[in-house]
Amino acid sequence: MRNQRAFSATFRVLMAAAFSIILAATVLLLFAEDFRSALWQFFVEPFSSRYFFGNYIADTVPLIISGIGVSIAFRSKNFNLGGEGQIYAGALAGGVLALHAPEAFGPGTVWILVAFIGAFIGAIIGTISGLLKAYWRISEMISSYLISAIIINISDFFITGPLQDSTSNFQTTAQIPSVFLLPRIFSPSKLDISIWLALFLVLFFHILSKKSKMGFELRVCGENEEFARYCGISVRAYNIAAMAISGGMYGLSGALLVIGPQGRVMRGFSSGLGWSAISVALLAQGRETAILPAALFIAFLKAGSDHVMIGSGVPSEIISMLQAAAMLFITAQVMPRLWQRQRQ
Amino acid sequence: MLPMLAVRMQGICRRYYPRGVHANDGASLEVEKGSIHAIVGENGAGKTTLMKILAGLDLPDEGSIEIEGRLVKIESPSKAQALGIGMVQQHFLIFDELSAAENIFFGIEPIRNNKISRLAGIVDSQELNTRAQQLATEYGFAIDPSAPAASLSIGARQQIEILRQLARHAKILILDEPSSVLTEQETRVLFEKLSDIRRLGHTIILVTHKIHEVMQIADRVTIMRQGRTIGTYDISATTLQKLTSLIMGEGSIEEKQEPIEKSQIDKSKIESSKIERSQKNPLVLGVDGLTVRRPRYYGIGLSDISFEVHAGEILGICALSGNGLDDLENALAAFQSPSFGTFIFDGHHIEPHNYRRYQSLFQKGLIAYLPSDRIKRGLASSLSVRDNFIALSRHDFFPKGWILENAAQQAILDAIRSFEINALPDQPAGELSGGNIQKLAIARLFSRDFPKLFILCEPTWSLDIRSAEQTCRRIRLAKEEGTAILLLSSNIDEILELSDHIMVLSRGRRVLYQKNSSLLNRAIIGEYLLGNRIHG
Amino acid sequence: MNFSPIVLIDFLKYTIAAATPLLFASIGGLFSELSGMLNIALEGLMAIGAFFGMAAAGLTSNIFFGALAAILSASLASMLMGLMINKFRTNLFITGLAINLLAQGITAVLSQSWYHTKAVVAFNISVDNHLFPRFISRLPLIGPIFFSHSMITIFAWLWVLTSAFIIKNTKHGLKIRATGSNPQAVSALGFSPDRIHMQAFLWSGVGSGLGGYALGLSISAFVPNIISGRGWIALVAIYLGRKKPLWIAASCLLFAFAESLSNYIQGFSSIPPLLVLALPYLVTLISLILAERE
Repeated sequence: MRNQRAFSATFRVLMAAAFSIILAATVLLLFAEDFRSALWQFFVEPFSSRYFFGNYIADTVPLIISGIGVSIAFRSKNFNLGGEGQIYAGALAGGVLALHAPEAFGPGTVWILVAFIGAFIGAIIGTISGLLKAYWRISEMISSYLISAIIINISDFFITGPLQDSTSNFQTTAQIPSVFLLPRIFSPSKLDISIWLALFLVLFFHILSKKSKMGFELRVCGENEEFARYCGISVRAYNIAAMAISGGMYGLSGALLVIGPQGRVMRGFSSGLGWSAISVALLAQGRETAILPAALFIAFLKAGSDHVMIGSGVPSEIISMLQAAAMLFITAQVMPRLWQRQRQ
Repeated sequence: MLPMLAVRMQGICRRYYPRGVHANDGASLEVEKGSIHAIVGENGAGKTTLMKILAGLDLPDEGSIEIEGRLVKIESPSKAQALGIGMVQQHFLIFDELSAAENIFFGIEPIRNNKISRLAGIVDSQELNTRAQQLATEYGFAIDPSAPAASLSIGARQQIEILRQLARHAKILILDEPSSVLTEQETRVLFEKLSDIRRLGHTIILVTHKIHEVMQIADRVTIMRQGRTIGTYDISATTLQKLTSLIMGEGSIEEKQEPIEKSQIDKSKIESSKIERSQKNPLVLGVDGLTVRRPRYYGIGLSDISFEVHAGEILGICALSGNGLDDLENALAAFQSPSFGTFIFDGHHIEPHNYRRYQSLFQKGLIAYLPSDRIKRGLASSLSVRDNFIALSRHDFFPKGWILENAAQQAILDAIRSFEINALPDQPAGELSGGNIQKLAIARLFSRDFPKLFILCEPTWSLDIRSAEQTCRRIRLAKEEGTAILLLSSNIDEILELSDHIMVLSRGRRVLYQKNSSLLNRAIIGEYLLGNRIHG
Repeated sequence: MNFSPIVLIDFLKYTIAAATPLLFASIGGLFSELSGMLNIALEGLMAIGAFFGMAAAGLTSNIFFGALAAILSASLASMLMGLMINKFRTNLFITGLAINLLAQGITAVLSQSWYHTKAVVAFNISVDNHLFPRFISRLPLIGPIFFSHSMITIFAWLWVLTSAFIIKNTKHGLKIRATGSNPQAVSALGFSPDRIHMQAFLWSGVGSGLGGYALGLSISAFVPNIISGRGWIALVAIYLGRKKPLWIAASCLLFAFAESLSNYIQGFSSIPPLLVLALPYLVTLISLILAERE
């Protein structure tokens, strides 16, 4: 019985993934100049060299970290739509810290401080939406999106204004001193040690959710709020905490990107990551361990889209279409319907 | 000459999967044209199901229906409407955002008389209000057609529902528990209107469990029990007592006299010690003036309920559904603070405004609560059986914030064994049958130390005889150990079996509060439940 | 700062013009909201309407064909949304998100494919701002403010008034309101709530499509971030306006005012332009908080 259900859930995810791939191929067929080379660019090129492959894995890092956060929020039925702003704010905060950290601080200290401030800023932003919902019943979807939009604009202002690198033609802050950047582990790619943090966080939250009291209580809140109340669990507190955690994870991702592959805070560098993390969480269906394959898949779609843009001129925005299709497919309940009909 | 039958239903069967419940099991009904016909029975007797089938809201698995002598198949509400059948359901289908007239004529609104209007469906609101007014006057209702429905009283809402069916030319009007949300006054008004409607040639079918009302208004009555029809009687040829006992299924009250003598002999020894004990036993929970005000159309609530429960005693509180037991449960279980009322727990005063204190008593394990809705409130269906079991006493299983894996596993395995639950620890709890879910809920509470107060709601629901007996034994054990027990149930047998004292609620009020309830029996309690008697 | 009358007049005129896309989209979204479905895809639907509308207009050099294309394309997307939600029971929120993403993707891909650029696509289509005879549009004060707008703006207000009428006075409007109020009652009375939801989504599509198209016409182009959050602001206007068409229109004017203000202030270097861009979102958020607290 249980195996049947697990099977159908996995089946649904695999079908969604397959559907996205077919859709990708179709778009390439329609819009690429040379279908065959476009296919190769999308499906094979990302794996074809150390450089490409390492960059591909590096791209999974923010997806994993943010994806965990979104997953936790989903589990308590909270929808955090402010990821774009939370990543950006975390990135900016981390970047500013790294730019102004005195040489006396060792690199290790700076990394920890940067990570912490990124997470902290993101968590505060998430908490605001959580509080607005808990006490004033304002939809966390709308408030998180609006706050995110405000923050993006404010951050843009800082990046192109007071923090703008005067020596650069791009809209970006100054370069962060290389001593404070995260060391790369798979040169010539940009993959750095944050991958270990990402894997650690997956393990950490997996254990937390399975073995800790907080993880248990959060699970109960997400499954049945009335039952949670019956057991004396504070549903309100967990809802706010969920928003705080998802905001914090977004912020952390942003900060790590800045002292990692980016090395600076460029305007708009994280655009689209917020939505991608949501796709990852949906694909993972609420299981921490499933975040890894989900992130690998979404990052693969992104890598393929990027390669195909450079190689065949198909806009990388097809990633948006593919994600949309995957999301719809997953939440559709075609499969369970067929299942039910059999039982009766 | 036989009177013409408006409705004839025969052999109606309706089974609900997957529980295999027979909502209707060969039920039948014959309604004379131009009469007011009542269908009575306890909750779960199948009355509403039968009427939903007649009104096209449900399909029978077997059986036939004749309307005015013609065999028909009623597949949908529209078909029922075409046959002149209209039903006013228990939960009103009112559109709050629309006006009274718009509610009445929903879907059949009059359109302005020009080409564009007919094409676009532009409603003639003047005509709409006029027609609504005419209809209301014709049947003697006082309605303001343009009033927003949200502002209407419950009685007015019901009138709108009735007018809605009359506007669709319903010749056969079905009302499902119409007086359950009305005051005495409003009920009287309703019955007057129903007489008027009958005089104008309509047939009315009234589904209710309030027999004294049936005696007032109906011409004939059909009694249903457990999905079957027990019999149909002329009101003029029967009495309140006879009907009560037919519904309860115990025969007449006279028959019951003997068993009382027997039990009196057994209990006489315990009686004297009981009286002594209750004078000595400390008061665990005292409730004074408990009142729950409900928003406009959400039911009756509770009025001024007071009672006491002492250590080592069981107070059984009995009421039919919709009569206030839910509100009492929510107030006692700290789920909803009451509008008024004082609690005294173990010497501490608790008012509605410092409800937090009362809630903390549950956390501390001083009060343990078994919810009546064990699926909605007592279960997280996608979590495992084990998780459901340890959730309530999780502080014991996560002493420093981390789970004691072995202890948890051992605990659930022990529970499965000693409570005979047919489940595996890792199974999703939603897969369990009703009986096993109940056993799990009981195991959860009874695996711990006994609290000072137990609040148990419908504890033997869906349990087989053996498990029910075991549960009763455990409850009595807790009582021996000095726990005070509040038993909330709509099941008279359960109440009689376990209680030392009995309180009956009807329509949100206390109608009986009997200490040492050994003299009570099913029939007597039944009358209180149905609102026939009030003792206070 | 310059507060001369001419600048003020321009300011108010721009406010009314800027409200046009919001009016279309928010009233379109109102139908969906009244039927009980929160439509968060207004942003994406507007983008689709803007793109296909301008493309068709550019192709045929005809504004009306453009409008038609805008309506058709956005409605198609909107009905797809309705289909997913009603037939396949997908999550309302996620479906809306998906449509937004889809719109982003399709417009970029097609823009590249048809016009070989993902950036600004200029079209040789513009609206005529001189609908009214000169003597009216020359009237002091009210002339320039109210009477020198394009047909599209006039149409937007007609859209508001017609929709208000339909919602209040037609059988169709009653059904939509009833479905949002009590869907079980609707089906017990013999109608299909799913069908009515689809009809409401259709209205959303029409409104959003025209709203996006209006934006495109106002700059005679299609640019990647043309909608810039206005779809979301339209959604908030619905709530701020308590789901009543005329109040919603007032909210749209409020937001357009905030937008005008931010543009106006940008002309002065005292407040940085990017900060000022955040103003409409801030106003929206504060309005939402204030509205809930009442």
